[in-house]
Amino acid sequence: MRKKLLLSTIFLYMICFLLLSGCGFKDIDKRYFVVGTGIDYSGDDEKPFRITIKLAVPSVSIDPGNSKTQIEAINSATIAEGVRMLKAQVDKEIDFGHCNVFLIGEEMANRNIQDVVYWMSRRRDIQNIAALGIGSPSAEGVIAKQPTVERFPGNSLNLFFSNDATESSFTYVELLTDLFRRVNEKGLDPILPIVEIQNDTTYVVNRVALLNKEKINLILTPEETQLFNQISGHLKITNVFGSFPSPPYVVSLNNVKTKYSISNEEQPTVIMKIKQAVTFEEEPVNEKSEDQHKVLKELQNAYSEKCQQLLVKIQESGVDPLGFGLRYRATYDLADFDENWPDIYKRMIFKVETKMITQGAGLLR
Amino acid sequence: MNRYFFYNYFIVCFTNLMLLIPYFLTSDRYGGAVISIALSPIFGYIFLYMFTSSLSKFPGKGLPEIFSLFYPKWIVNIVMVYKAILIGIAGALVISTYAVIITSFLNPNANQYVMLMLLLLICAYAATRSTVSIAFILEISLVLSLPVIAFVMYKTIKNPLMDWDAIHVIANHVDHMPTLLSFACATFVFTGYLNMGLFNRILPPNFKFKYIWLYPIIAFVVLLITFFVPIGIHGTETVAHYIFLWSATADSTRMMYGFIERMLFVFLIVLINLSLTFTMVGWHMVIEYIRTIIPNNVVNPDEKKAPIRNYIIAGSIIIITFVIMLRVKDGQMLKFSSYFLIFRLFSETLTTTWIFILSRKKVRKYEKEAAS
Repeated sequence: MRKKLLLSTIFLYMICFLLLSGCGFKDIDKRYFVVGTGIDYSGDDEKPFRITIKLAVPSVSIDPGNSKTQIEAINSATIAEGVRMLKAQVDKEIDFGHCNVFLIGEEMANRNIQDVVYWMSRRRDIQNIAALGIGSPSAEGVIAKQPTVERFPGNSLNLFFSNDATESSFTYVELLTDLFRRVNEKGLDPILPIVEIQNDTTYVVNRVALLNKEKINLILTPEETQLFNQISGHLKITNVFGSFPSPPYVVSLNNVKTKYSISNEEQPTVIMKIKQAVTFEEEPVNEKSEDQHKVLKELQNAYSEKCQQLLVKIQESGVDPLGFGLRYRATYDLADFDENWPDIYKRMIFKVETKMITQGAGLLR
Repeated sequence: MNRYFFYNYFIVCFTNLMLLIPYFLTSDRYGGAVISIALSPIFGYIFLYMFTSSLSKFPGKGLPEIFSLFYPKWIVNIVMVYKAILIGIAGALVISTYAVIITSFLNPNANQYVMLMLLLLICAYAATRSTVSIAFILEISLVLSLPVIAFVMYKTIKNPLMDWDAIHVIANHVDHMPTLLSFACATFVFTGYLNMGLFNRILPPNFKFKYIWLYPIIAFVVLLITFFVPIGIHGTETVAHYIFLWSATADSTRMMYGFIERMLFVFLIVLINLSLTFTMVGWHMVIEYIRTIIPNNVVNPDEKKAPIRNYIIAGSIIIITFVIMLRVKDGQMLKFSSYFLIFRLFSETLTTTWIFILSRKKVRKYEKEAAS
């Protein structure tokens, strides 16, 4: 009995050893972790992709400005081939598993982003929760930048999109899942934030580009971006709603609820109802807000006006980032969406009603 | 003891992800998928009721014993081999799908067949244990997994990317005729009761199935979540781009303050738990069913030591599964999976009705005896 047990144990161990040798596992010190990837248009139609990767170099000291990275770039005909060729330029295995930021060059985004998005979704080691953006003027420039305040390699850009650190009402966070959905969805168009370099030291992310399924159609100004973020309901995650300046008043928005419905008369109409809780941040000096209702009413009208202008501007450029098309599909039967929708969208008119509920005027009376 | 029925029912319910049921259902999302899903709980409830009410007429008996009450040995043998093959295929499909998932998500450099062999060995060994042990393993494994499943489902539903308009668009397509494949897929979720064909052996004689109306309701909610949540997250079009739809869906959720940011890995761990358990239970049923056709078989759900014939049957399962999987490629597997699901629908309808008729026959026989 004992002998049998011993023999079977040895046999089991042997099987285990045989199996273990089959796994191709690489240790962490044999790997390079990519902390930022940029994909540009190279200007050469033979090899249209210029791929830039930022590799984290482990370092002992964790001080501002001491993060070490290595930048590798290459031109290639396809993205997958480019990444494979990059492997020949470094001494360790390249691992995309920790890469949270992917930038597409502005030139590339003006041409076609679909190849990039499909490649990323297909790769198993790229997270679906990675953030995407447009690098302006080029992704390579933004990726290669080494901010002077950075403590961990590549962390600075990562923090912009992580909701952990900065929570700006100007920053739109777009994740890979969402972008891939928008690229294919009927009635919902892609949006990407634009990342630029400021003063040659830090980044600034305060504009969004609206794309049709392939390329940039419209770039919003920072003010419009903030307004867009507020009405898109996108920032529910972070509870940062920013402010609304309408001189001489500035209110900060603490809570925004946007609801809209589409009525289908001979003129399709979007009726958007925005409900906000606001606090006054700036009022004219030496002027007590006696008639708060009147002030609020003016602000409401101004806000509605601004929203309406923004919606019309987006409509005129022919993109639909807020998903009116999807809502229309959900509410009404549309036989051939691709055929009929552009016409309906062109004829659409927008009515915005804002309701502001004041939560006070700050600490002053 | 009702909880052992619960575990058996829900291990099948949750394993629907591994048989690529979300994949088939979403491929048919503009067709008959929605109406199939809407009709499936009715179908599921009727068959669940038929099967459990028949089993309660035969306390402590599994399917082989029930059939041998009425039919000669050779008919019973054919039926049991047939049932065993069907259950064995389900287990094989689940385990090989998991081998593919492991190689594509966890370790792409590993040899897929080595992985498959490892999983096969684990499942086959576990399947040789006694029926009572299997029931206990099933309980432990599900009790450990259920909170994590609930967590994953909650997190994905609360995902800010969730778009209810997309769900609305798909739900509007309820007015199409159900297709065979999507109906077979939707009803699979409700077929966990068939495991009781074996596990009825361990239930006490005075056992009563309680709350059976509750089971289809919970399973229906699970089915709704498996179908509609990925649509809400990936949209109406992109959802058809993924093969392992739920892996992509779990990967879309960010756990900001979790130990790991990617929920994919949490999900994969639950998934390995569920699929190993499912295969173990399935192959245990195969072993028990095949054993009944071997002469001198003793039915003992709580045997102290696994007889040698268990190991022989388990070994043959490993070899057959492995050889088949060596020959089958990814694309063929999808097709194979869909054929299996359709075939299973008819087969289960037949089995359940058959058992139901047999149980009525038995009642009539007793009534006659009592009258005479």
